[in-house]
Amino acid sequence: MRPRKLTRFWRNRTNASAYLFLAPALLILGLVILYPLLNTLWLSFQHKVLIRPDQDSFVGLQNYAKVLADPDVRAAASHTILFTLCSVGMKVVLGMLGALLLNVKMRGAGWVRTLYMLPWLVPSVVASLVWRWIFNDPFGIANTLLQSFGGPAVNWLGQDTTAMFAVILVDIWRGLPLMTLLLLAGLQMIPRETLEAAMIDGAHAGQRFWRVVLPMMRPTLIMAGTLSLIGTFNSFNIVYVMTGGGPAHATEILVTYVFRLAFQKFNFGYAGTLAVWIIVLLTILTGIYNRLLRERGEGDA
Amino acid sequence: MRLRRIFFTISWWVAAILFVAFLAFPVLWMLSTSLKPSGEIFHIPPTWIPEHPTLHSFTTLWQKGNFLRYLGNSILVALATTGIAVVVASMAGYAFARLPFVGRKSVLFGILAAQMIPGVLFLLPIFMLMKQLGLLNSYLGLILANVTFALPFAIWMMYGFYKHIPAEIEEAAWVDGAGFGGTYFRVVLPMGRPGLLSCAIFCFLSSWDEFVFALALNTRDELRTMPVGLYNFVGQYGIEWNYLMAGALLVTIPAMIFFALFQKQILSGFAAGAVKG
Repeated sequence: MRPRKLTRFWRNRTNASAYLFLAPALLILGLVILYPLLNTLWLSFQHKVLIRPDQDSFVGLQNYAKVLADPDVRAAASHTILFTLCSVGMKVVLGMLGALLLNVKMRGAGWVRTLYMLPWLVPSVVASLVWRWIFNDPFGIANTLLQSFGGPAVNWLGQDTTAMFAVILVDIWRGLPLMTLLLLAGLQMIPRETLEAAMIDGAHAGQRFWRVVLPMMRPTLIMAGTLSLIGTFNSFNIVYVMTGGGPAHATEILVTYVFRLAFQKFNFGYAGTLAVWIIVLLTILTGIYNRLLRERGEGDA
Repeated sequence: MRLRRIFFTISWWVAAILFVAFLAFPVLWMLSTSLKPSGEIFHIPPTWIPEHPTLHSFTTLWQKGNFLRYLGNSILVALATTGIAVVVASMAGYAFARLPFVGRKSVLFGILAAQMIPGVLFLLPIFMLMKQLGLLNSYLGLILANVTFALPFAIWMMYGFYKHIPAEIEEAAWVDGAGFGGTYFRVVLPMGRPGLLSCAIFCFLSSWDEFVFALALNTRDELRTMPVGLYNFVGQYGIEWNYLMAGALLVTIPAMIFFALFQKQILSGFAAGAVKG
């Protein structure tokens, strides 16, 4: 909160230097984010299919209405909701358990901490390729494991439900370290005295968790959850490399659908419209996240 | 009491092993596969540990194909991205933290929102932009794109970092007549080393992970980065998984070394960037 207190001192300095320091950042962001954003917006009002240039025309809000009525968009949206909610839910639950685990001081636990972070260091494309190999039918290790417990051989990435399960699992695998890290930071902000006081009052571990730790973690949980929600929503690489949205669009989420519209169907106008819808949705989510930051009194924007 | 302690220790380790088994297994499987000769890949059931371990996959990758080239490209692009992004983000973060200029809050929110938009939505306009600028099939185009997508979080990180550094020293320097730039370069930068380091690591990992733009902006084989090279490998040959996993390991190892070296800064820096903002 210091900058606010210092306002009077800094206000007397020239504002010009502030703009000088911001210029490179704003220039780059303006060129590669703001310009494409406006360009997308412009495209979204047009009918523009690359392979049919004769049909190019300005159609106003027509594409926007079309998106709302499009069954493919609906399917992709419901896959996105399923994918995002399952993945974020599991990441929050497992991340909480993992954070409690890593918060304990234990001899020899340094290794656990390091190995725990491993998935985060594997580039997402590489992670997806490795899991594709694990889920391979019939040579993958996943089926071997399943069969050693008496299960059937499954064509994981070739069937609707199992393919969805697989991409969700991989997303959880890759996102769990960061989630745990965020929750661990929140856990460490709980004052020791509060826990000790509860202990003296005779609360056992379960009570301490449900009555003390969890309520105090609420802001961190909500914030990390929102952040993860946005990140998971955008999980393009994993879905694209694992299944390409298949089989038969069973794992198609909104971001892969936009990609397919633009680069396989060359329907630039319509892809732009869907992109704008997604951006609006994400901006609302970001606004919520920002609000949560502010409520904690630490964010500033 | 002692019994309870032993019970607690045992259950802690059981839980820890379960977590680590899930999280580390794919990486171990990558290693195991990469050490197998081609014939052993297609055993049913697969062998957990290679029966005839060999470095054949690695030496083959080394000799044929452009894997060294891809690896070099990835390193070049990631280092350049990191260098540019850290300088730019540090300057911007500092201005946001210290100077109460008009529109500061809206710009900060705009940057936060930009961070949340997936790059793939902008692929088409950026592709056309790069085409106009003549930056398709160049390192510079990809670096510029990677810098842009690393920048929003990097700015927030540096902003959060500078905000928590006491400003009195800078004021003193300023009163002594160092001026804004002088204060920044002589006082702020040296103090900001830990923040700059976490920021650099974030930018490096973000560029290292980038796939879609590397795939779309550079179509010439000699400019490909590792993720794209590996992805194309899948289509190219009826998937020789041992080679693929060897490549996967090669691209993961630099990130691991990076992490091992700077574990502390990474962990604290990330938590600070996302939680404290």
